[in-house]
Amino acid sequence: MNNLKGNNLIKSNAIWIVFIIEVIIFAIASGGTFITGSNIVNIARQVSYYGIASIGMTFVILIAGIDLSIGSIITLVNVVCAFLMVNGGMNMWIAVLAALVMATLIGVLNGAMVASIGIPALIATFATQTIFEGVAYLISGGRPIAGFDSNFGLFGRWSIGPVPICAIIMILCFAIGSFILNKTYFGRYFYAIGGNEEAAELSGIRVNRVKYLIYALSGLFAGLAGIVLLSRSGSAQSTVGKGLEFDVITCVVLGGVSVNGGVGRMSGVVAGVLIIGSLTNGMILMDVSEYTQMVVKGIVLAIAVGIDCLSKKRQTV
Amino acid sequence: MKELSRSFGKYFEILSPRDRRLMFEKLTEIDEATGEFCRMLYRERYQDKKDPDRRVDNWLWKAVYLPGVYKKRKMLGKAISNEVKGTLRDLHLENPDELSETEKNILYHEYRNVAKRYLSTCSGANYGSKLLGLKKASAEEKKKKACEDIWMASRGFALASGEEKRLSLWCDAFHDELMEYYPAGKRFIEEFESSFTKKGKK
Repeated sequence: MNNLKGNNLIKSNAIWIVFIIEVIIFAIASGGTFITGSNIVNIARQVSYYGIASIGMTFVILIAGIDLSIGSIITLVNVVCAFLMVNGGMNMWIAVLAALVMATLIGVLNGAMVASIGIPALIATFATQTIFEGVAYLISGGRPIAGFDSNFGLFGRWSIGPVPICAIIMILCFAIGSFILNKTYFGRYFYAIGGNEEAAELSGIRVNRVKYLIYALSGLFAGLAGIVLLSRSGSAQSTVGKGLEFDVITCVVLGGVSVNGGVGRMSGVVAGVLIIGSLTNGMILMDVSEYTQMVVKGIVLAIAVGIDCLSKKRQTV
Repeated sequence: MKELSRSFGKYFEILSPRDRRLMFEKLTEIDEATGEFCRMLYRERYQDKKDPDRRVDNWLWKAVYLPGVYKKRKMLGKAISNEVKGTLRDLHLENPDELSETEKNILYHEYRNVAKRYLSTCSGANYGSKLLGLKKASAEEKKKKACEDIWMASRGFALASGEEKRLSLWCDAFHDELMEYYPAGKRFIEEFESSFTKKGKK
């Protein structure tokens, strides 16, 4: 009986065990640099923006959807917010608000294409990814935009004591995401739609409305991630979000959110984010080239999806 | 469970709430008390208290939602007791021994109607699809998933909550409807039961 409980405990916390093993390996390989206070703060800053974006992606994947446009939303929010502050002379807070509204509206557009028109999520969000990447180039002319208010560092560079504000924003977002999933009817709808959409509709859930809201939330979280990233980097680049969606998808799937929909929890996603963040940071410390990092992350994504598919095949409730 | 008269039995075969209401109005052979009980169940099942114009099926929602509770049982811990209380109350199973035989019989058939309605959605194009909806499930995969969903919403939830006795009517109705829909599903049900026993509750 104790053996059984032990096995179940290991299974349900496997993701955290992987994280701890990863930390130990990098700590040894880097001669202790990996676990110094300054590097931990650095990891917290690095994971904050895709941690925030992964919350929206979790909602989307729970309903068996996908949002490939979040990388472009992050880029566009970077460019638009910087453009409004630098070229438009707009107040920092109004520019941030405008950029977040824009990101949410892009999410609504994704929701409309998926829910109302019926375009598969993969195609719909791939289209918006391409569109808004182009728009970001058109606005910025392919040039970086810099020179905005120093107070803008609040979101990405400032800290409260040793804790970066961007990490606090991420933790708050995870708490909100977890609350939505576990404590609200709205969160229950995600699992219901991911489990059996037709039955969910018959039981009275307004499925299309929920889909709109989920894609809007995905856009909003991606927008917030874009603001944090812009604040951290100090200049807007029209390529900044390229490929970020794959890091985010990797975090979410690695965290146990099933690509088949209806299964997953926010605590797993937190672990997924920490694993990918530590992996990226560890590889940088080990002086691994950017291209090798891409290979490693791709392999991690393939393994995570593979495990999900295999476990579903073998699964007996 | 007792066999029902042909026309009363047909009332429990129909899936559309509107058609059921129309059919019920034509029923003449049931006594007043039975009729009143059926009307009450109809209201509880299909009426949204906050928005009466909205079309809902509160009991089908249980079938949709309870598999989620079952999957999250380890995480929910003690919070599962609130879910159990609410479910027992909504399904009139708080004190099943106090129900008359007629009431038990009607509830059993109403529960089977819920399971039937759920199973009617299990052959849709998107049901059981994989990899972000890109890979459609085969007919056999859909049936296996239907067995899994029905088991988790009934017996799985009862086992996880320790309420096998009070939920037995709900479980029996779901099991019997599933066996009528897919008799070969018995082997999956046995598999789920033994898997639960091996893994233990937590």
